Amino acid sequence: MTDEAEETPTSSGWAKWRPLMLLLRRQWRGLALGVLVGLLWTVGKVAVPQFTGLAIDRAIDGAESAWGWALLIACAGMVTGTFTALRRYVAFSQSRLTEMRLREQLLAHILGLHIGYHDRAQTGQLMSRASSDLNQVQAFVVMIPLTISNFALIAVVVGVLFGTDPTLAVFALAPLPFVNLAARRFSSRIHPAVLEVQQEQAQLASVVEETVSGVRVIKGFGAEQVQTDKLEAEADDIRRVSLDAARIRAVYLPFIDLLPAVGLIAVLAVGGHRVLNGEMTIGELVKFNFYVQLLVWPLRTIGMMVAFGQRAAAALERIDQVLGTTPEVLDPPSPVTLPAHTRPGADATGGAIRFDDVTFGYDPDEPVLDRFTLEIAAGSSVALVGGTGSGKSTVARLLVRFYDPQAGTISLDGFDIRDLRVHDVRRSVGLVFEDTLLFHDTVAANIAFADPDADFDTVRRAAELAGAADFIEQLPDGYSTLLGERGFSLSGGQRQRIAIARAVVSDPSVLVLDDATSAVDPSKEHEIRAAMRTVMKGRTTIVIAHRPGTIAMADSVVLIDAGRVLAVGTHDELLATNPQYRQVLAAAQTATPSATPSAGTGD
Amino acid sequence: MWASHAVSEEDRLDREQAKQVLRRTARLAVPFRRPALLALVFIALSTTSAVLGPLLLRYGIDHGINGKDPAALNLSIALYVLVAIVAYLGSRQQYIHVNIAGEGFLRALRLRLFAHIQRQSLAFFDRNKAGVLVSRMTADIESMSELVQWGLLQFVSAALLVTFALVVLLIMSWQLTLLALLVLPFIALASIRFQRQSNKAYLAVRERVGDNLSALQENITGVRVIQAYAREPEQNRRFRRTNRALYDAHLRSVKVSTWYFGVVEFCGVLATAIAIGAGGWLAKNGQVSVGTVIAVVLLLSSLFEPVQQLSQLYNTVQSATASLNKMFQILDTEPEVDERPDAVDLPATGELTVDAITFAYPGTTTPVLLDVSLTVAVGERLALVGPTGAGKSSLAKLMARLYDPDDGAVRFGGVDLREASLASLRNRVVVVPQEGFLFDGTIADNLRLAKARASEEEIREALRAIDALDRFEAFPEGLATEVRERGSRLSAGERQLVSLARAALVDPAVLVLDEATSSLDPGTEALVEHALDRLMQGRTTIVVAHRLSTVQRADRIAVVDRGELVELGTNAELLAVGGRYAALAEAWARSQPD
Repeated sequence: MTDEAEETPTSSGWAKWRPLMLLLRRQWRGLALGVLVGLLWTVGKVAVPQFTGLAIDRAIDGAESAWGWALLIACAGMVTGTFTALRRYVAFSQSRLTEMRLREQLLAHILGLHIGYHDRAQTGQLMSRASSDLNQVQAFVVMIPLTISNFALIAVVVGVLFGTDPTLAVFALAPLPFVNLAARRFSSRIHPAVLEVQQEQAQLASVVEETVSGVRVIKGFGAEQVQTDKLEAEADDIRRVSLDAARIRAVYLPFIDLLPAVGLIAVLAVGGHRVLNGEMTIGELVKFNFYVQLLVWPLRTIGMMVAFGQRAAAALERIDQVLGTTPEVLDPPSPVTLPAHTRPGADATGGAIRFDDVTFGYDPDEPVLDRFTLEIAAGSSVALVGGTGSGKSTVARLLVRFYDPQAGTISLDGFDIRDLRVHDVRRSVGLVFEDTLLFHDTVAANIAFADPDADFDTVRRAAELAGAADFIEQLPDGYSTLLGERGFSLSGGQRQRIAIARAVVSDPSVLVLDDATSAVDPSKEHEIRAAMRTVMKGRTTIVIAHRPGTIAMADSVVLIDAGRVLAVGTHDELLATNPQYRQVLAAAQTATPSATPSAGTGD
Repeated sequence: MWASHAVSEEDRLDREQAKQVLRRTARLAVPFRRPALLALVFIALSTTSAVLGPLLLRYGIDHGINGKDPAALNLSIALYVLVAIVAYLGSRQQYIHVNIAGEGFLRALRLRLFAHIQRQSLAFFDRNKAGVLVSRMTADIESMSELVQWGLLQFVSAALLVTFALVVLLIMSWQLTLLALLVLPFIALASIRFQRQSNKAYLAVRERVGDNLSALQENITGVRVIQAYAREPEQNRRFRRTNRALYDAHLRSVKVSTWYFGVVEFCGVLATAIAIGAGGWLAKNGQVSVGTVIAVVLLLSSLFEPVQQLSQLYNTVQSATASLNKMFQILDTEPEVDERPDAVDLPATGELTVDAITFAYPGTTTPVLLDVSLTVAVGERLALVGPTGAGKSSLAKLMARLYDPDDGAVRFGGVDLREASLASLRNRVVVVPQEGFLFDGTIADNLRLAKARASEEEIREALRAIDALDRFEAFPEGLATEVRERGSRLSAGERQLVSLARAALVDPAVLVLDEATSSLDPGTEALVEHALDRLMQGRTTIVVAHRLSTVQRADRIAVVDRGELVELGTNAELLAVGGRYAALAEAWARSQPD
């Protein structure tokens, strides 16, 4: 939230309102209902002072029975009460509906955006689009029906007052527009002050956070005072900006309260003398009094509405920047259907891969793959070996169309993958990452990620194949143990084994293991190697790895350097003949954690 | 605006607890009694004015208009102007003083809590999750800041307004007031019901918002896996469910407030109706004046808003007391490792003796160390080895008094560490953690953590001592380089160098090192190794070793297994024995990269 661009809308165009307008049109019935109950609320609200004024003249100051008037007022109260409730309910439920639908639309769009977009986007930013920005929009939408009835109320009251006594109406109403003005200025001044308070609170929070996480260092050096001084500075800042905000409140809020009092005094001063001269009744005087007070809230909220509108506009613009981004990786207009043997679960062997003169760079000016050509026969296994930045992981990412190459073609069983449905390509190619994300769900559901309908036997077999069954059974709830951020946390190696099981369930014709066993304890890797051999059987497999043992499992090894294929052969051949290959392996060795009897983080 | 605060069942305090929390809060707030009292005076002033308006109107109507006395009318107008001005000025001051008192209180609370948390021993941080401690200092205090900023003000002024209005009403006409207030029981019942229902509804909303946020987070961070497995439709379907649940929770909470607002509105008008009906009747009997009826009607309309506010604020106040209670629980925790009143300074040098110590982590019963004794000579280098969970790191921590043993003693130069002043202890014994933990600030700031008053030259000298000065001075901003949060601008190796330089700055007699399990890139690895060697020169060193090379360079090796010291001797001696160490060394050698 520190980004400047977050605060100020950069364009004043109407385009950003489009997604909201489309949604609001879908809800026109609900919004119309909101306006209707708002008008009925207005009727009740206006009737009460009217009846009260008449009752005072005719019953209190006059001869009529007061109870009849009391009944009438009570009836008007029924109307007001009922429609106060309904007006509020409709406005809030409609705005929550808009919020819900917009959030759904937003996430669906985000999930459909190409990975190139996600590489640049920050999670926090996207999160605030779908949370705090949407809240701003919701706060605005709720005001739409409320504001319409507020305007109606103001119009009717002003009409009634001018109809009763135009001169007095001028005096009584004169201060009220300033309520609106002051409310508007207040709203736009307090907002940045509140944001500043939040920012200072966030800074204090980071001091607390680093202190608690670094407590061992602090204790070790007895540096408590250093941190205390830091915290004191932050606490002082919070107090300072909070008092700034309080001063803004102190300037505006009492002023806003003062204005209607000025109106009331005007009513008493001007009206009182008119009543004394017999030009007006006491009841009318009281009526004026009531109406002036009645107008305060609507005027205040309309004043705030302007600021709400500005904030909503800024939020909508940021939301629209996301919704307006077109996904770059799309299905072709008339996709080719993959033959049966390439689809997941096929018996016959599919999965022949060909990279033909592929050139690609995350930044088009800096190609990572440079006229890269490689052919992998269906059912064979290949290890890609290369130094950091050689482009070996990029090969895997292009294969699942996370990105499209700038030149050249990639084909799967003879079809250019851009002619296939994105969905089909990704179901045919199972990609296992180095860093495995587990979802907040059960172990079983995490394994059955590619196929939520998979039965338990499938899941368990996959776990066994991936060498994960043993530790899963030792988890507190076995396969039903909840994982993820708020669930049971697994070690890196355990997570990787779950990821491999996940790929097994998806049963792809091409399996890509991108450094997928790097976190597995070396002493356990041989167990996984056996599992991997079973998994690799019958499907094309691309292994990106550093450990010689893993590399040696592949039928052939492709040495990649600077985005090109440097050499192809078996592990032993390359080891014997290629000095550069030996170099790459040796460099990888020193960079990996030195083996220790215990990979724990200390006891 | 209204706050949607809620208290969960387990956080709710019973009457006795709440009373105690309030009493302790009052004690903490004593230093702020002056602005608080001032605020109270100003609140009372502006509230009185709000009640005086209708009274003046009554005077104007009864004496001025109906009494045909323009002077009386003008007097009431003039007084009304005065009252309005007083209300305006009083209300300005009340905002300021409430905040001066409130923010001052929160600041004091922050400092007090933070200082207390920092005083705690490590066992406290093992027991309490970092996230929980952070939220005590942030979210919990912030939830109170809302109360301080406007809630407290509203609460007090609403309560005063209700009281004043009731008093004035009763004085003007007790008959009329009592009749009109027949609606009060209904409002009271509705308010109690609302308070309960809304609490539940807000809790549900809060929970659903949390679910919704983590679902969003998971989807956004997991987008690569989701796309790789073409799972978008399923993820969207799931998210719709979570999102719908949030919507439903919102709707329920809207429903709760909806009927309540309607009922309060209706009751307010009903009270007016009763006042009119009964007022007409009483006026005809000559028991009340027209002006009185009007004043009653006007005052009644200002009576119901504060009642409504009070019922909403109830939740806010309750959640604030719950937060305060949690803070008091922390303030009540006494640090386990603390300085004795009669603490002595440790000698400049001496043997480090571990004398028959037994230790279990607080809250556990299984000892991680059982009757361990050993002596480390001045300048000796001792390596602690053993399998994960054997107790070697715990032994190292006790030797630096990060924990106190349950039985036995650790002594330096003959002085029990528990009797040493904390300042001299931290000067003699320095623990260097596995990874260099850096704080936001410059490189120099990070060194000064070890010695707050170190001069620029001392800092450079410390870096020079481990041969790391050139590396950091080569940075464009040199030692003034901001390392950012967690030192993210430096490499892992550089962070480790800063961490070692801190130790060099203290120039301790004893170093306790926890060797990193994962290694750095080959370039910096050598640099760090070299810095370590320089640092260990001439110092007693205890190292929790993970590497064969480190162990082989040690003077003696202590093998710890299942909390017991099983072997102690030089590398050659232990290899010759052919016991636990020999087996371990062999396994190590085997698993080294070939």
